[in-house]
Amino acid sequence: MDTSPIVGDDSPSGDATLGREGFDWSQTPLGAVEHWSDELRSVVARSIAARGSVSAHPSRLRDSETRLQMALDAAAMGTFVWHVPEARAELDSRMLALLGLRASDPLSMSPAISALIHPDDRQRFSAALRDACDPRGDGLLRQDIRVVLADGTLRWLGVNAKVQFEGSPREATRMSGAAVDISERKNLEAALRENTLRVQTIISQAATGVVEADASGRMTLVNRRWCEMLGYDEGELLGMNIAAVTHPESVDPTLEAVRRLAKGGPDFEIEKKYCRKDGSILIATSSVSAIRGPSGEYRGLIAIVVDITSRKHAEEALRQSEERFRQFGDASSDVLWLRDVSTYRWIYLSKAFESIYGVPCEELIADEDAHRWLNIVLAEDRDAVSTALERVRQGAKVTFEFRIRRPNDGEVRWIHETAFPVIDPRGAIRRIGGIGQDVSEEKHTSGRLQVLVEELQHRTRNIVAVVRSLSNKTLEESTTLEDFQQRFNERLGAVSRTQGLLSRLEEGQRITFDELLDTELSAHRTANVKSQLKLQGPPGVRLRSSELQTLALAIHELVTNALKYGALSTPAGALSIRWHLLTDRSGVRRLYVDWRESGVQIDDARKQAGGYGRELIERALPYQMQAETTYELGNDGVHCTIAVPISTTMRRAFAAD
Amino acid sequence: MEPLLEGCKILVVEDEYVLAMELHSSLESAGATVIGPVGSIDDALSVLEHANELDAAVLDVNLRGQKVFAVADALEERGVPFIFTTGYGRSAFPERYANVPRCEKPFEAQALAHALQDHLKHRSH
Repeated sequence: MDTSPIVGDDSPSGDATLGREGFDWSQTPLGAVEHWSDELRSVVARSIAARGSVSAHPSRLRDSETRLQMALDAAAMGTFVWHVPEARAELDSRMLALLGLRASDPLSMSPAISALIHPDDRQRFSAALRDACDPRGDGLLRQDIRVVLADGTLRWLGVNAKVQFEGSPREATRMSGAAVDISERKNLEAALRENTLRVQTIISQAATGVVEADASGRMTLVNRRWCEMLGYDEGELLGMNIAAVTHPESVDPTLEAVRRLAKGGPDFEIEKKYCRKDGSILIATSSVSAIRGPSGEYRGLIAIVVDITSRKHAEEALRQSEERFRQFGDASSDVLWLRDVSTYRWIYLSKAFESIYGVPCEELIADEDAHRWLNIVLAEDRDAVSTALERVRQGAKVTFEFRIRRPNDGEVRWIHETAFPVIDPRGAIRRIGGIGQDVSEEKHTSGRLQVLVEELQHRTRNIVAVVRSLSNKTLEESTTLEDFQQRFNERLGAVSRTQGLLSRLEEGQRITFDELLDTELSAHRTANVKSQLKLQGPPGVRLRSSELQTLALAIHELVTNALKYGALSTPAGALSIRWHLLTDRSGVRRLYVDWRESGVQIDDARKQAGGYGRELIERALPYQMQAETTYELGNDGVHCTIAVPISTTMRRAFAAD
Repeated sequence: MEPLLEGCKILVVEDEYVLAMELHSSLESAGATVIGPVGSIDDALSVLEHANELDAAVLDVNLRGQKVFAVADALEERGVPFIFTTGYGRSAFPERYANVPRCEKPFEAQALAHALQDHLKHRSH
């Protein structure tokens, strides 16, 4: 069997004859193949090819006449010859069938055709017909036209014909042609067009950006949303490379991903930054698919782009907000915490927890039994803690205190807790939160403060009692109100000077004997009798604060008497005050003071015999200070000795009187 | 002063001399016989050991920085009624002395004598 030149070879080869296929073309209006011109051969071949599917399977036509017949039947190709001068047409049976005509119908071409051709195509077809018949032309007719059959069916026909010219001047004599039903192809094309239009509409209306680019990255299709996202016009974007609108940060990752795609890699999604026309940044996710040719070669890409800028900004704002919160939490010396309202599980615990509770935060957060932490709370406080948390779950803000025993060192700490419900936007309580403060120090300090306040109260009341007693004593001695006033004020002065000295002391400090003596002598304005005074003794002998008052009063009385009646009352008098330290047999260190007046008229000296000063020295100092004292009224004045135990402790915190 | 405490033997414990003297004289003028006064816990305990008939005691709470409660307990043991003189507020006292009368300093001698007498009466009934 020979190959089929009709379908296998589009070129009108002179040797190849359609007749060899065994199909009896002589029975058709076109007559035997051997009489066909080259043009007619190719016209017929093209008509068969126009049916489309047939040409894809040329082998079907190769073997036999039957097969060719089948092919022609399948192609539903009708043939016709139009005798131009007589306007007479010869149509074969398939042509008649294509036009929905019967053999008995009149075969006058023009009216038949005019009646059949769809009104929209009539004019075009007539013009093409005229052109084909023009002797100056090539005589070829190729038209796709619609015909409307008698039953209303619309059918597309692909018409190919060749006009022969004869005579001189040349005239069209005969047109030979073929027509095939191309309705299916036309419908497919229409559907395809419709589909394409629909896709284009979807793309252009899409809420996401759609961009198509060729293999070099130049944009070949952009939709409206994509233009809006970037702030460019469609005209500006088309032809621009995608890299040109990509943020420098994202260029390399994008190129790398596209390179993999071009090498046959899978479609991918990438989160990247673009630069808008106004310079601002667009953050987007792009879903990128490859466009590949028939043999799989990379031709470009289509990207679906979603703007996530605002989402990213919200995420970033949230991240920053959480970071700030975390930093506050880390910096806080209080424990900040969040717990799930139903399971009590810890959601957040700030760093301070570890130092206050002595348990790593992770350990607690990981613990599925969220009630176990109560074991850290002292047993007697657990019920109160549970009750308080339960009230928070019910929606109350609760402040409470409890104690914990730290597992790591066993130390008991006081916690001051403020717990509150965390209410979500819908008003539901999903979490409870709290701020826990370690108030152990405050508790301790307030205890100390309480002690201090009591001590102060004790001292103040004691001084008032002493002053009362002094006033009674002075009242007993006084003969007149003026007398009372003077003596009382002097004694009150001694009391307040002692308080003044004590108040300037830091904790652990002591008043020294020379300080005390100096204070009392200065207060009595002894400067003008300085030559009569002889002081001798070491500085820095520390006195017990609790006993200072009585010693000061005693010295006050001695000085007052010396000025009034004794050694300092007469230019002939002299006062010698000597002191030194002694350690007695039992190891007690004492300050030994020797007070000796001389040059005093004994009559005057006698006046002070029963004074308050003497009582203080002889009775008060021994009573209160375990002092050993002597008091003598000699021939020329008072001689008095005082031996008092002195302060040996460096520190006596809150030394109470 | 009325002889409210006629014939009563009263121990005075007070470390401040002027206050001890004042207590001494005011109790005597109320008819009492004063034992002491003493200014330390040791002296007070030593007096307690040797005193036969003690009707009551007046205790200053703070003696040279030490609390007088050891003396109070010894008195309690012997069934001797006592009252506190103090510059401290209520919170400084142990619970067990909640019912012991307190004369807060400074006090009137008369008031102290009355308080003592009331306490003695109350105890004897």
